[in-house]
Amino acid sequence: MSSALIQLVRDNFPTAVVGSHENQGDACVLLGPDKLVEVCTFLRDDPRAAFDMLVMVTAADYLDFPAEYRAVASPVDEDNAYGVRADNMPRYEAVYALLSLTKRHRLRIKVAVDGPEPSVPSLCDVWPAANWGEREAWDMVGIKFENHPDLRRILLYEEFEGHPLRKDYDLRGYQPLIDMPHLAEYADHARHR
Amino acid sequence: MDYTITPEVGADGLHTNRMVINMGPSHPATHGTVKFILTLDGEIVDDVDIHIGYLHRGFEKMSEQGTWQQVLPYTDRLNYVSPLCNNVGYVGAVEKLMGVQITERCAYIRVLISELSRITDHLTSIGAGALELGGFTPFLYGVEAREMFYPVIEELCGARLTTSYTRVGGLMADLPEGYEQTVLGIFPKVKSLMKKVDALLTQNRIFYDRMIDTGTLSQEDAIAFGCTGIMLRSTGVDWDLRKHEPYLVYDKLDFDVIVGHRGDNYDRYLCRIEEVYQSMRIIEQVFRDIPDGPVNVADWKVSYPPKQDVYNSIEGMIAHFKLIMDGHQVPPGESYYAVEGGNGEVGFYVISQGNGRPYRVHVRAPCYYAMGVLKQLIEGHMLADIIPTFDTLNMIGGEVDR
Amino acid sequence: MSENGAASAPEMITATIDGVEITVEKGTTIVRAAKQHGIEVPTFCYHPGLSIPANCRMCLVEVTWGNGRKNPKPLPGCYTELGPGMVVDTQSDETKDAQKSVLEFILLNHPVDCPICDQAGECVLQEHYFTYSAQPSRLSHQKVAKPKAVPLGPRVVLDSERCIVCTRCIRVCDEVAGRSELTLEDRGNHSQITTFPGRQLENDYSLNTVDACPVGALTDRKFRFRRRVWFLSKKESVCTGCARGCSLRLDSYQGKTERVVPRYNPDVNNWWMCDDGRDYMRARTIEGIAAARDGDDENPDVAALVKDVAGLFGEDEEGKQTVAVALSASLENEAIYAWAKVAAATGNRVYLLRREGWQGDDILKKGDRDCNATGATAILDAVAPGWGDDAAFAANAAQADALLVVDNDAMPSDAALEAFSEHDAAFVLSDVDNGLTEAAAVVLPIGQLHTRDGTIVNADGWIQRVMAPLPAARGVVRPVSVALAAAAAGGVELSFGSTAGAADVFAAIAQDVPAFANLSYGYLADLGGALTNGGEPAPKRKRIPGTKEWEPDDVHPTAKRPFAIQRGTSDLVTPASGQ
Repeated sequence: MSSALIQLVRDNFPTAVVGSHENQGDACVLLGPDKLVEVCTFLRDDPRAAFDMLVMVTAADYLDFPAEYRAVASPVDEDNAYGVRADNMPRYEAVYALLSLTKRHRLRIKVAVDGPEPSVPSLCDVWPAANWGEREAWDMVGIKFENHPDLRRILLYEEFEGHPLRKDYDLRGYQPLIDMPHLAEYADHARHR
Repeated sequence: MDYTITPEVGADGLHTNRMVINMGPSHPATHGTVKFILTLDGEIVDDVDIHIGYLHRGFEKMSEQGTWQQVLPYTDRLNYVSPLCNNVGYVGAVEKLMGVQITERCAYIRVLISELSRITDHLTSIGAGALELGGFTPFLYGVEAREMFYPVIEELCGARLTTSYTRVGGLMADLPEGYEQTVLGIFPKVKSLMKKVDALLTQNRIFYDRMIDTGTLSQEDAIAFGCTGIMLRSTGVDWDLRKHEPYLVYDKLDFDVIVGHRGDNYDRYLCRIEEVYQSMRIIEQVFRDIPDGPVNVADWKVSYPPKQDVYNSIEGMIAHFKLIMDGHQVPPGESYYAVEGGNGEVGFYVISQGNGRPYRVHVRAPCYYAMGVLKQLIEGHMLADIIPTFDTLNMIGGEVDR
Repeated sequence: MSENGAASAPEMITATIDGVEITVEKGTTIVRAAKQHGIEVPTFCYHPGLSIPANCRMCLVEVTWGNGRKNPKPLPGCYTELGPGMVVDTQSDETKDAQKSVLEFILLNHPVDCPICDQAGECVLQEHYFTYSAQPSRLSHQKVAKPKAVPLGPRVVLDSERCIVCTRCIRVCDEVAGRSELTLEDRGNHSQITTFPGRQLENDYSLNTVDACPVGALTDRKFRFRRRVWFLSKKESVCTGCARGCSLRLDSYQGKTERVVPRYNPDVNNWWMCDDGRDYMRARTIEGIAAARDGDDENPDVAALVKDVAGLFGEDEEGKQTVAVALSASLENEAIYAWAKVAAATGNRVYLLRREGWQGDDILKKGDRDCNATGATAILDAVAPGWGDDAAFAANAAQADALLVVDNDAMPSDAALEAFSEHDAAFVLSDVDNGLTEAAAVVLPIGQLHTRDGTIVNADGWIQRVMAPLPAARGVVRPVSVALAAAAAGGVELSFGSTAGAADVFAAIAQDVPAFANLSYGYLADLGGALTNGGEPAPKRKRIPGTKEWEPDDVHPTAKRPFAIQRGTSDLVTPASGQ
């Protein structure tokens, strides 16, 4: 039961939880970055949770997201221990999807971070699947994963500049190693908006 | 960089230098663009650095530029040997977020197309796998069998690979007349080709020796590295989304989940062969049980109106116009929807900002996480074992790199 | 509204809309009250700036009166005032059924024109149908056929089949333009908009009917079929055609202005704009800018020309030159301030060139065609006192060593132009080729005002930002940049540097010029603000919560408004008594 899972996390780590929801039947809990590894280790090992598999690691940049709808997918408890306010949410979110093969339930964990160099502790020691998952989140959105054994770009080449899935990545810009100076001339192509 | 290599000579007079060679991204024996930077100690791989991303086309960024429906053709090009599975997965995620209930006929057809795609995926893997180990004949049999499916898929949606068959709220169109005969009619030939492949490979000494006990993945590693699908089931873990988290109408259908026990390449090969037969079994049941009725949801805010209404009534015209220009108005929120694809759990994580344009679409690619475990499967083993391991892993570049 | 003005507060009443208890002024209609609280009630014929006819019936809502009795029929929300204790339900089955029925009736005879209709993409009928109905058609007859492309006048074309007979266009003509040119003929589903016999839709506010038309029935002849609206780059800006400075939205495609629509600004132009202003703005494009010229050299290096102009203000072997600096009164404040400072500090006199006026009216058009005369005079009074006008320029031009004109369609008098052309060292910074550029010795292109951000002040002392709706052309220089170069050459201290944006220059103006005290770009964004004349700026208007719109305080033309709108001045219409 989704609500039982969220209750399990809240009961055992009351100060780590920033918020939670169960929209569309998916249990989702927002955590603070500092206790992330502890909570995940608990979720992996505790027999009531038994989340043996980390299915997905990704990240999202909420820069252009309408502020009035942020609370739908990222609800924030009034009295959360991190002082996160619904009207001033951090810009990035790291998203993890967990699956328990034995108990057949799922949980989504989101960690909201901000700053010019956002960072989240790495989960590589908890689930090795995080190794490549976090590399992609770093490559695409630019969230640093602390203590990751090998945090380098994975889908893009090393000399690439910037993090493309950020909303302020200039689609008209060009990259070193790509000799296309005339790209700037296609600038005014009006886009559907 | 100094490229001179000073030979180090061991006690037995043989050179002991590690050799660093580059395998890929363009290599005849790896189907898919991947670069392995191998540090070899003779024939044994000491260290491998796997570089992917040669087929990265910015799927996730492009999804943010159009409407929800405009993402669909990009999903064809994810796992491009089973495009219909991706189509089903993506619209399922959007429908989950919109709260749309598809019709029963639509659910059955989506099961049908998922299974057709699964068969093409497995046939590609088996055939290409055989090819890269030197067996050209079973490759041709496998491809011939696959070629029988492509015209069937083409009759359904007009394309062999770039299918784009599903729509939010339904499908592009209903099944063609006589489709049951068309599909079931190829099964005898496919089964006979599968038998030939089986006869050529399964008890083939060379094939057996190259596949047995190579690329062995343990259950713990498979789970810890997030492997799903054949990678996981070949290690002995009984987990198939169709059975254990049933979606569409899989809970009404009768089929077996094929589970291996050794976790090596041979088991994965056998699992694939068996799954093809199971898929055919599912397809037969779908045709037996499929109800009549509409394939699209009746609500014009979700499904496109029929063309007759679009061209002859202002209401149809407006509904069509708004759906195309503004996109489906998906309420704000996020959802994760997973289907069992050819390689494992294909998940779509979508975030909606409340209008017709996706805010974020992420594809959970099964072979991306499988590639994460590949390093372990290769290191410490022979160079030649990379080939069968990589084959049975069935890395599809479109899915890994997106 | 109370009768004795500011002394007593307006009477408030409490009602419930969709379960939420709200308190509004007595007399507020349901649609307005709902809008103020973020609830949308769909309408076609209702327009906050026009009288309320309640003829489309789209705003029908279920109403239960304060005494507990439900009204037997749904009531039109645009016209019905909220009563104390009233309960309005905009989501009930009765309301939704009413909405679906009304839409069905409207669409019965509506032609299947979306692929060729200009309004597609911004059509209220499309949006309301898709949001509130999405029901298939039940019509099995032929639709009524009506004339499809009727020219109502020189600017507007009517497609009668698309018309939903909301009568907004008639009310715009009557109430905004004050001329009775449009009316409704026939009845039932044969109703058509038409002009009175012998009349055309030819008043100077005719294109407001096109803006007001919720569907594609009325179209602007100059925009018809030119471009689909979703290809247009829509940017907010201000009109620079006259001293009214109507707020507008400039829709352009690849730098070429395709059309101009007015933007709601309760302190300047409400919802309307004159046709001449639209034509003037349409001509502001990035094509056809003045070509740089240095004497006979048709391809000079622009950077070198900037140096030459800057050099006029420095010291050379012969000492300082006198430069007569003439500025167009339609330049933005930032350019005027920068040049005025440079001129004053180097001991040169500034002249203000004015445009020839045109016939204004008492609706929106001002007779003064300079969009920034008020701002220019305020800045020059503060920074370069003793400035001269056009005639003074004509008289004194010959005595100066060099003439520098910074132009924005200045339209100088013949005397001034003659004085300019007779001078050897006549420099002009211009946007387009005109008499000045022909006569000048050196031409430096500065590009359209609308390719830069800057502020202008209208005749009523309302200051707005231009907000650069068009992209900058190539090979142009900003007038402020040239002024900075001149300042450097002449040793003038300016409080903004070469990397300064328009906001920084404006901050300097706010410091130096008392009329602009305590204003800033952030405050002026969107609607602009009034000149403070040394005081504190008034509080900004608030947006309606949950929407992008501003709280309107002007509901009906006969209510208070900042400028006079004549009603019923035509000899064909007798104003109804009491209105």
